[in-house]
Amino acid sequence: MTSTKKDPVLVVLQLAGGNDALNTVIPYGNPKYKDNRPNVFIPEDQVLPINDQIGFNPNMGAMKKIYDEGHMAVIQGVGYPTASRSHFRSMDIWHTCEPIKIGDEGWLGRVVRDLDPQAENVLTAVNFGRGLPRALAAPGVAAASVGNLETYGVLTGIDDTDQRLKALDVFTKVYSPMIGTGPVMDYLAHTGLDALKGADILSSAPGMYSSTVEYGSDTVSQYMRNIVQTHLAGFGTRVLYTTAPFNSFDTHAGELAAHTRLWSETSRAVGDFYDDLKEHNAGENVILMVFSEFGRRVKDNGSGTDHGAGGHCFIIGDQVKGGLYGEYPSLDADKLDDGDLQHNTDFRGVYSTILEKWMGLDAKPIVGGEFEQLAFI
Amino acid sequence: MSEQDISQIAHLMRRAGFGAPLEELQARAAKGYDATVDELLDPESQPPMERDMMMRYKVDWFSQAGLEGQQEEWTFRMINSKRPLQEKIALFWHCVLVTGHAKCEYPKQQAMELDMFRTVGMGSFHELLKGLSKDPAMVFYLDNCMSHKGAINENWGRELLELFSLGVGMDGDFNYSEDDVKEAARAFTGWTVTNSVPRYPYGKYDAKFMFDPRDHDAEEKTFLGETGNFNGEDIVDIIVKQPATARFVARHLYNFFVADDVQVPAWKDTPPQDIEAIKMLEEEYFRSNYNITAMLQVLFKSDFFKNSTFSKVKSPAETVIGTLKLVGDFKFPRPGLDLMTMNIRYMGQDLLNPPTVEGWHTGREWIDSGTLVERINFTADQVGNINHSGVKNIINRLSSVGPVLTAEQLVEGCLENLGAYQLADETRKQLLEMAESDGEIRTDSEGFPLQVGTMLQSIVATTEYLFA
Amino acid sequence: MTTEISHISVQYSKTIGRGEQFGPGFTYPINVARGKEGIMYVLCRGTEFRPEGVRVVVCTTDEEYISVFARGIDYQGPHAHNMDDGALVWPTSIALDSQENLFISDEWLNRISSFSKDGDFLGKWEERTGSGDGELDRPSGMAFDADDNLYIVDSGNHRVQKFNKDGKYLAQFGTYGSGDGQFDMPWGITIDEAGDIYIADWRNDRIQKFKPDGKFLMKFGNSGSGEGEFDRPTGVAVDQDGVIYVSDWLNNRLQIFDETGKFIDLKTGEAGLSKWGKAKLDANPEMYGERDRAQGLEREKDFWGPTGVTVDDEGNIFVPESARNRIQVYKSQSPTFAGPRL
Repeated sequence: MTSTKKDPVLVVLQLAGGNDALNTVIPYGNPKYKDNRPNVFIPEDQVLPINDQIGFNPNMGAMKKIYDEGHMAVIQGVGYPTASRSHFRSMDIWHTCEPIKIGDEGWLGRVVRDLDPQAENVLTAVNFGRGLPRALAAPGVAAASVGNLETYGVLTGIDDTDQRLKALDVFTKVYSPMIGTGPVMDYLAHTGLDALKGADILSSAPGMYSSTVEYGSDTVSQYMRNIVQTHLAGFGTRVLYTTAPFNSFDTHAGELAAHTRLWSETSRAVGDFYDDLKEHNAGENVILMVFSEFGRRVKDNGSGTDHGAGGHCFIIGDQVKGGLYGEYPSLDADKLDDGDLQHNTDFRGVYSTILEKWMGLDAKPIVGGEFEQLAFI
Repeated sequence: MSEQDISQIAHLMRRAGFGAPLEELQARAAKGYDATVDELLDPESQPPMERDMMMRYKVDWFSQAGLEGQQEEWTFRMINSKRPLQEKIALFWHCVLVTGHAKCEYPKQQAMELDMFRTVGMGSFHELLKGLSKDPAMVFYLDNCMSHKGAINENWGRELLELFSLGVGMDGDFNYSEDDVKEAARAFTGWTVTNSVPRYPYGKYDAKFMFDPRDHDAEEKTFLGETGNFNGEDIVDIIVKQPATARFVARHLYNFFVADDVQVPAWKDTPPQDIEAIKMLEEEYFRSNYNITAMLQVLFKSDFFKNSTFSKVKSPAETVIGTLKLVGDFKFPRPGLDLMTMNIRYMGQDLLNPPTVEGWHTGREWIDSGTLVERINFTADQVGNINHSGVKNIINRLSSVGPVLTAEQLVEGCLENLGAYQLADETRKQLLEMAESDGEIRTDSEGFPLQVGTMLQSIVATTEYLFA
Repeated sequence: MTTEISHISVQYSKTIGRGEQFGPGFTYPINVARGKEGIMYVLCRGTEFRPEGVRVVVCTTDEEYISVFARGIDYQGPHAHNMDDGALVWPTSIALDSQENLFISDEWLNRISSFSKDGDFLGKWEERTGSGDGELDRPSGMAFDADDNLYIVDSGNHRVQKFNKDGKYLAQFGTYGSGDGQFDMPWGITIDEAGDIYIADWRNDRIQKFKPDGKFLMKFGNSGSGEGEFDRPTGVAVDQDGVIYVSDWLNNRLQIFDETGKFIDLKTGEAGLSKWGKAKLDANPEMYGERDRAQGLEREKDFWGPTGVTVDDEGNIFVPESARNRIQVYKSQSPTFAGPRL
């Protein structure tokens, strides 16, 4: 547990689609890298070296800077046993911590329940993007999903301001709990007012914010900015989540061009996020986890790579002990798992580290067992 | 026809279907309530979906390879089917006899299961359970293909008893023992699926059910007090005879079609809220030889059903489909339905991909502060769009009342057009005040359509409108 | 030409394609056009969920990937009639004029767009939704005649319209119905060497043949699954010998007829591994194991929902199967003796 007085906050950025681990943290010192990637490789002179064996993708300058400052942990070879190469299934496993059977609750849903058992704060968890990720879903846990923070609210489809205010006035009155109407109506009335209150509070965040940091115009950048705005507004939000949209990391074809754009945008978004927190002196109680549901094939398929297994995960924050964790998985043919990198760190160990050492929670019931923790916090 | 007739038909159509615009309610009321029930229960009397047309324009509805496309296809069916109860019963069984995309990963296989629900699901529960036991999506979803002679996997055996037929218990007692689970699992060994053709390079092929006699445990088993060399069909034969199964089916039908009950895990210790109604359904279960249509015939014509208006929180699917039906959009496949369909997911019901084998929790658990915002904003956006044909119809009908409407006429007219909704006195008072605040309501004024739109938006935002 | 061509032999040649959202591969290929020098243009219908899959893939008949062009609409949803130039929503058919410019019909926008063979957007006809002369409602199949006039199957209006290639309306024929010269949601079209027009009369489950001026000549086929019967025929093509090929959509087969409409043969599919398909498996070697273990792998040969048929001057017959992301290619063996040995 850190000594900070402010409540610890966890931000999660999900790189949906399966990020190509091999072209993100690149084993450029290993000749097998080029052998396996005749068409989809990054030339050695472009790699941003971490050491004489591995280095970052050339478009990850902003993240490399954080790494060099010692505030980014690179966890190599993260995964789970008997990897699923399906987006849905593998993402589900990361979200529910259940690699064998179908899980019933999201790990962050459990976190929110532990943090706010009486559900007193409707904004304990906020997701940016439409639709709640499975990670945040658990019975009795409410989390707002915000498509657009600037216009978030109830009855936003009423264009005329006067009419909307009138309708909201009616809304407030009809959702006011009425004595003697029973527990269901009472619950719905409270929920309605909570929703309205939560929306009102949330949509006030952008107005309270000013910054010199100029984010990119891509979705991830805009949502990372919304996350900072929400954090700075001090609503007591402890878990903030967002997802790179459209399964964009699913680079089956034309990977070099697509991956270049993806990492230029993502790395800049992460760098801007980090700088923005720093500018507001608000980063000491925040860590960011960046993950993807799987890595991709070691061998390329001509112009891209197909679904694989083990990948990397990044943890970023002022309180994070930067550096390399885990081992870079071997590229030797006999050490591959059906043609994929073998994982050596269970993702539930990463979660457990965050939960126990950062959030101060009992990890075991949340991740469903005991897993080896790491030293990044 | 009386207001009472319209309101009863509106109630029936919300429950046995996905609601209907006023002109359809009036036409059905003219035919009569019982005749409408009979027609709903005889889907074959109505034309099927024009699948050729659907697949011509939506090529992914042909391949059925993607989750979103399949959700969209089902949404289109639910909006447009002339056999609304067939789609409703498919939704019902999908919520009870659960498989999920997160594991199955091939929507076509689940779509084939839905087709079984549409037909067999309105016939004998006995046949339905037999079909389910051999349904490749289910065999894979609950791992029966991983259950082998001498090394059983209990997953299917357990959920068959706990979630798909007997239920954990009733009237405070357990319905089966752990041994029954194991014995059932033994009886189903060898019921498996073919190895499927992998997705690369041309996409998947549906798997087939297969019985492997070499992997079947043919030894004696004792299940629910009966002993024999049972196979899976024998287990189903024994299950459907049990009073607990009658209770299970009756209670699920009641919870889905009549009124919100407590969540399923609480059924062992919490008695049904209307035991007389449940008894009627249980009796019909045995009398009709486990026939679902016969049970629904009793249900829809009963007083307990007719008196159950607005006692269920609408599911996200009911909310979205009901709204799209009302506003009259998407009668023909067209781009944009995908975005509408996603709203069902945003409200917490990712069709074909339920969160767990228990399906979705229902009733008030559909609503939290996140899903409520999605629900209200979606319905309000739709009914407030005065370009939708269904909304135009509402505006025209209200205009035809006369050049000037009283606030009361505006509020009541909107409520009737939304499906004979009723409001608590306080809510009604607020809406009347809002209507009055704009001064005289002239139907020939330029602002009238928008005034109707805003009134509709305010009504769909009320707690009352969360219910069906 | 004589009717002796009934001993024509059509043999499976190869399969082209694999499922891929971009680059080499197809996403719901719905129609094929043959260019010069071994070039083929494959129109991918794609889906609204992955608009990048909507495209024209340019490759050779030997499955060498060349390029892609055109695109779908942004994910945010179509803005009914405000689509950008060059965007495709429901692209359905592709036709080449004498200069090898490509014309693409869009059944949602009721728009005809044109591109150069290098993929440059050339223009679009002015929007013309409706049922009047020259107006369109869900334009499906298209074919150029020898004079570069474009015949468009105006499916929603149950008729065929003739335009010059700048979009000027010239003539039309057909009305809704099931009588001779009437249509029910027609789809595919082809024009033979004599300039006669063949229409896949989709919901009437038949093929109709017309003079260039629209005069009815003949029809064949009716609903069913027997020989010479159809379940929603999507496309029709005629080769140099006058042999007629019909993609029989829901019967999952290709049917072959002589010039009088007499049934000759049918193919239910013989697809094998394409070049791109093999490359995909090589990159995912465990798939070979899965294929070895799979029961019913022979189903991979079968047609599944053929959405059109195109023949070229070399006797190749291309049948796209949109749901399988591939094109089965057949070869017609000319009955004419070609030597050199006995």
